[in-house]
Parts: sequence; C-alpha cells; structure tokens
Amino acid sequence: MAVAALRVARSWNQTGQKFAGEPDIVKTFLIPEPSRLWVLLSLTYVLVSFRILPTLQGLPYVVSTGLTSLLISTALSFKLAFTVEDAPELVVGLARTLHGMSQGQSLLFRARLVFSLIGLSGGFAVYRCLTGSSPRTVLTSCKSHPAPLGYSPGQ
Amino acid sequence: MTQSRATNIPLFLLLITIHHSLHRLNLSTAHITTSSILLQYASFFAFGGSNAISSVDLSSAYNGISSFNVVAVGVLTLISNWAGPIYWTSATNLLLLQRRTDDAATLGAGTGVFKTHVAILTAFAASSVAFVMAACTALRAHLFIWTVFSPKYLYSMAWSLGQHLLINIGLGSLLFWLGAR
Repeated sequence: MAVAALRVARSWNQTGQKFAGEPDIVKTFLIPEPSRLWVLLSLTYVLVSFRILPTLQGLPYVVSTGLTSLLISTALSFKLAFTVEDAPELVVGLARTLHGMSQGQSLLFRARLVFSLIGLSGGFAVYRCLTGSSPRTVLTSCKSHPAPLGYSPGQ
Repeated sequence: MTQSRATNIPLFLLLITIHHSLHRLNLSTAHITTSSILLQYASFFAFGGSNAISSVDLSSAYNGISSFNVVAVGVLTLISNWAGPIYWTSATNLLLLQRRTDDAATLGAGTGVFKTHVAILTAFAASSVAFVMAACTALRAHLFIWTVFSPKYLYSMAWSLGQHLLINIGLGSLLFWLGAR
C-alpha cells in the first residue's frame, strides 16, 4: 500500500522542463472539480487533528479538544483565505460560502493566529516532555509529539 | 501544512500512509536512514520542487509578515518549499525512537541509533556535494556549464546547509532528545 501511495505521490505535480505541461493529478483531477480538493484537504486536516489530540494529554479533556479544534479551524480558515487570494478558481460552492462566513479578517492576522496557536501547542507538548507527570504518559506524548504537532500543521 | 499550497495538502495524506506502513515494518537503523533520504527527495519533487530555480515557490513566503524581513522570509520560504523533507525528518525521528526502544529491549544498551542515522545522512550529503563541486571545478571553463550548474549548486547549498544541517541534524537531534527523555 505504501508503494501505491508513493506512485500516486510521484504523479501529483509534474515538474521538470522536459515534462512541463504534461498532465498530472493536480491538473486533471483536482482543478476541474475543486470540491474534491476541499474534501481531501479537510480529511487531511481532520487526520492531523486526531494525531495532535493525544499529545495534549496533560490538559483537561475540554481544553485540549477546544485547543485542537481551534487550531484546525483557524488553519482551515487561513488556508481558505489564502487560496482565495492565490488561486480564486479553486474556491467555489461550499468553500466560498464557508469563507464568506468567516468575517473577512486579514490574511496577516489569520496567519499570525495560526502560527501562535501552533507555537502554543508545540510549547505545551515540549513542556510536558521536559517535566512529565508519569513516565508512561510522557513516553507516549513525547513520541507522538514531533511528527503531528508543529511540523504537519506548520508546513 | 499552513505553508503548503492548497493543492499540495492531500499529499500529506499519502505521506502519512507511507509513514504508517514503514512504522509497521520495524526496519533497522540503516534501512530507516536510507528510506528517509529517498523519501525526502521524492516528496520534495512530488510537492512541485524541481532542479530549476524558477520552481522555488514564494507564495507562502510572506505569511504573517507585514514588511520585508530577510530572516523570516527566508525561513518561511525554506519551510514551504522543503515541506515534504521536513515532514520526513520528524517522521524518521519517530521511527528511530521506536528502533531505540526495541534495541534497548533486546540488546539492553543504548546503541547510538541517532549517531548512526546522522553518520549515514552526512555521508550521503557530503558525497553528493563533493561530486557537484568536482564537476563544477572540472568544467569551469566550459561554455554552457553555468546555465545548468548554478541552479544545481544553489540547490545543493539549500539541501546541504538548510535541510541537512539545520533540519535533519538540528531539528532532528532536538526531537530525538525530547523523545528520548
């Protein structure tokens, strides 16, 4: 399955001067039907949110769920606003309605909000790694902390 | 994912799938490092990077910055273009930590997993940069060489100084140290 995923990843974007303009997945699959893009994108963000949630174990459940959903929703609204500026043809239908609902904050503000939330969650995870309540929870939270936390939402 | 273009984000789904499969395979340290190198390059090109300087994507370089700031713009450009390799740095770290606990359980001692990893990475980076430098030096008087080799040289600098030193070694050792505590 990994090899199949790798093969799909290889044909995602077509690069290189010899093959420029050749069909790739983005051009032929996503751009004609932008709703597919937003479905996949939301799926990715939801998956990342499930991977972030275990790393915030020290907080009460309500706080950690709230923080995670806040992080994901701000990241999604930033992505929507950014794509409206960058490639407006991709934001149609439901995505444009959602964008209209989020009150027109500037891109600058949204970006800084996302970055500071990521930093906050990352800082909390690092703090838990360094102090640690019980060894077992520290172990699991430290191990799952690096990949999901700053680096997937941040990149 | 904040730094990547919207059309590139579903690629992270695929990368997570690959990482999950690698996790289940229980590889040795050398295998982990080799897979990491290969997948870093593969994901760099899958995200739309190429060996041409024109494919450096500046659309995310100014996220959250109101005026030009060399360091911040540089960092954001690096993160947005090297998003795939950075993901693999932290994913490799998880694989290495699992390897370390497995080794500690069976062999009963710290076996320097991260040092082996860094050694193989450095060998690869050093040899590729050495070959590029040798080619540039040997062909420096050729007529057309610099149209091809200056982007290659710049990318080698970015890969070796940026990705290798800063991210693979710097960030990787930080994550490994945090995870190993």
